[in-house]
Amino acid sequence: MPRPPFRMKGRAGLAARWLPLIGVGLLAACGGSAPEAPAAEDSPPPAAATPAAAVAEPERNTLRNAYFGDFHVHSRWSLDSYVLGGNRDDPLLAYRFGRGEEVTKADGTVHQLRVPLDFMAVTDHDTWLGKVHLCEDESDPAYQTPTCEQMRANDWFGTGAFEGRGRRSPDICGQLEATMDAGNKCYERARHLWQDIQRNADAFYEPGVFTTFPAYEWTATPARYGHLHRNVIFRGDAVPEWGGGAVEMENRPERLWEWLEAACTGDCQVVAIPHNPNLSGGLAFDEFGWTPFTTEMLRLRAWAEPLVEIHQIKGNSECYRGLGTTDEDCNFENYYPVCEPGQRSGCAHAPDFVRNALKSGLRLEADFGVNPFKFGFIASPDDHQSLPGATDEDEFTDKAVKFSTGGGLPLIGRDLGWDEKADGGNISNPGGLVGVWAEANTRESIFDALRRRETFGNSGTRIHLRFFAGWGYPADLDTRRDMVEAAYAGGVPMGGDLPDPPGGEAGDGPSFVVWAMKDPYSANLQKVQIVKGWADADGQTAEQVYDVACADGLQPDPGTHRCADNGAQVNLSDCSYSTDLGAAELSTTWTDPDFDPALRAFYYVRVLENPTCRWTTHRALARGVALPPSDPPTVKERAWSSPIWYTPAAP
Amino acid sequence: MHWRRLLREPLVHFLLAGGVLFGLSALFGQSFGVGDNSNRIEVTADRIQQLRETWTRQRGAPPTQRELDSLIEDFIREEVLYREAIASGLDQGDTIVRRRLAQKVEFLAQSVASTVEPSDAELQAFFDDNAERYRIPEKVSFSHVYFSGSNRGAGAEAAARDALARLTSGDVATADAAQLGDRFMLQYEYPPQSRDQVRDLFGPRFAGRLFELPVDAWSGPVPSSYGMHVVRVRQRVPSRLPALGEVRSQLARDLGGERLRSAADAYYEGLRRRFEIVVDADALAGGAAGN
Repeated sequence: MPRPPFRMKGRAGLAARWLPLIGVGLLAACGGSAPEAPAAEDSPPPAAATPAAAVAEPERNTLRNAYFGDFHVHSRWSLDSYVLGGNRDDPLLAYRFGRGEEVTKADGTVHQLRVPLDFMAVTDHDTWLGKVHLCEDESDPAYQTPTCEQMRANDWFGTGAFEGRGRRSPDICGQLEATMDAGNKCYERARHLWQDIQRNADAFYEPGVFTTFPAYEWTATPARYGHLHRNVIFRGDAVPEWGGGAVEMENRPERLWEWLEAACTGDCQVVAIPHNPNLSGGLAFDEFGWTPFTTEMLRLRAWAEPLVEIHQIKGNSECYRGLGTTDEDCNFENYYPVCEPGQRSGCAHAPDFVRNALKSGLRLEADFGVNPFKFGFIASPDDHQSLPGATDEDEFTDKAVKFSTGGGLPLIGRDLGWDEKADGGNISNPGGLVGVWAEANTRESIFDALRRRETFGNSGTRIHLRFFAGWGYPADLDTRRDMVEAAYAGGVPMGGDLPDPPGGEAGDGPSFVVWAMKDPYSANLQKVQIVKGWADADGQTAEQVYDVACADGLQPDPGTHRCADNGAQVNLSDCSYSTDLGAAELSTTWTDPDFDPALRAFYYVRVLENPTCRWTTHRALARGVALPPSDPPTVKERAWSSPIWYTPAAP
Repeated sequence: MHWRRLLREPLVHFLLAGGVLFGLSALFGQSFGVGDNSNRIEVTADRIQQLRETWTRQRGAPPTQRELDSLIEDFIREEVLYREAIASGLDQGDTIVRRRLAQKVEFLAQSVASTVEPSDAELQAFFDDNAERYRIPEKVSFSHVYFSGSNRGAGAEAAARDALARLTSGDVATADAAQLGDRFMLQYEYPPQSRDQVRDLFGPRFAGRLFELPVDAWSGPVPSSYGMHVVRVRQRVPSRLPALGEVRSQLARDLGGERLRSAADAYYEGLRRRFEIVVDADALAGGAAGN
């Protein structure tokens, strides 16, 4: 791999990233033949040593294992992480933390995951990549600019957020327009950092043990609206040359999709995963105001974006009670208040929630022949402190992890006092994890699971969740020993499309097999629900939530389809919770009592745990202060399966 | 001693750091205009060129003569005010200025240390000194039969005992063992796993028991977070120290971090010895008591 032509000769620029970097940098020059003391480089070459464990081909389980990962974490290479979070730890520390090592951050704090991740990707912001780096490079004239001085002093407004909303940074980049020309220093630097991103991911990849992907966050923030960010994850080391960030692409997602289609060819495979539709100002699942829905555009979109991030630190995006649903379990870590009439940004719009997008996808499919919102689900934290996967409500307290949101939003949980909540309503949650069902913990297996949407998201606890649908499953399939084998053989897993019914007769409809098992570190399961959405012939959409398996012998009411509450309690003085109520596992084989073979529909699973303390309660106890009055003291941790879609057979 | 090896000597690092610091202070002294030439401001050809380049970069065209004159005037103005600020002691007591300068010096010490790569011998020595940190924990591989607590309730334990009896008596072959129990979300057979890995999958009770079980015999019932298990440990892999090659990349990362810390500490200790440090012990004690 060619070396970048630049070297960091600086003092602060180099040493500030000393701890995590140096080791790999040291390895690079093994052989010791450099005649002068070699200048260390900002980004290391790949670690030379391949772990011994990686030599053997990982064993494959054809019935697939669940692996848990994080596809959304920022390091100091992201401007908001650097400035708002004060983070001085780079992607290498993020990988070390993710694989379970104890790490010491540059601020002296020590962190370790309770359970190591199986896989991850570091997703630094594309938009600022070259600029942040130039601002730390003392050998570059940009270093002396006031903008860079202010960045290094953690002055967010002083950086003008690096002109993220379309203005340029000629003082740093060396020319007026942020183009992809070779003369643009920011672009050139980002191009080299993209190579470093790949090297870092390669250096930590241990097939069968810990899987890493080259990735970045495409950070479009169109003026006046919320954001349209996407995490771009590549399958392996076949990746395109750097093609520019969101600013160079004028913040237009369709340009990203077009570029990926044109540039990611051959062995290259990619997914772009939109996140925080809840903050998109009504745009996330829209035409953005400039990309009219056409069959061709929707097809491109569906290809590029098979997944959506349903939950993260900046709030939940599944659903919002009052915005297209009356589902009371949607009152969960919602971030913004509902929009006032005429309000555009800083509030929650109905179309921005994933459940509503799934419904409008059915409608669009009827009109255009393609469903652009056929999303599988993932969740991740979006941590901005180089600490992926730290989703425990209590560790969120213990480690005092500082989060920042960027984009001009108020800080979340940064040395949080309850007044901040009263003032800005800016507190969210520790985020969730991605679950995948894959044959082995390798790039190939996990990425292929992403592509077929055999994924699930959670709010941070490791609930295991299986979901299948087929025609004519036996009524007791969920309890049979060969359940998984038979379910695969006779149907499709989460993320799939139901095939046409045998003989073309849908009859009483498909049967669904769902099976969930608790996280050994968290509360018992309270219930399993199936969420159904459908569209009728007139394009009207609707939804229904069914409790399909409830713990403690409870049965759903035939009218409301809901079980009574099981009465599980939390002791708010010590955060202990009921262990005699709820179940370690829940399963059922279910048929839809309202199935209509003529209507397009989707079905996904939501699993709810018994309530446990919310992070704010853990934190209040640890600090000996009162609970924040406006926050719920407990949460029901949960997991969401990717949906399965039913499409009526063509006549 | 070969000169390349010389570059790896800590003493040499220290001297190098000192040299660079000396150079830095000379550089700062010159550009700050303090010291011997405190009443003289020299706008050198280099400085003019830098001003010209910065302007060109920001505006896309070189400055006109008039603009350049104005740039130089601004530079002089800033320099005059800066020197007055220093002369008036305005840099004193400013926390941000203090911290920034202190950081610059510390970073410098670290960056010198960071430029020298460890040899194989040094990695080996570091490994020898810290071997326990890299110890590979004891692992066991095992098969198990699961009896769901949720589905069987209190009957799970009895069912597990019954299955254990049938397996132990040879009534049911080991190969068919799984047929005696319930379907299980995780795997029925595991390759060698550490205690932590087992704990994260099955919960702490199961992990605690598993590592006490005999090899190649059915045991149980063993409770987990999910129900009861009848377990057969297939192999016990004792804890061992890895070969250097197995942990080389982690070792190099750790040694690098260690060196940076010790370089910064050593440099600081050297400086600190040059000061007499007096802390008001009474005030300190009073402050603590009053807290």
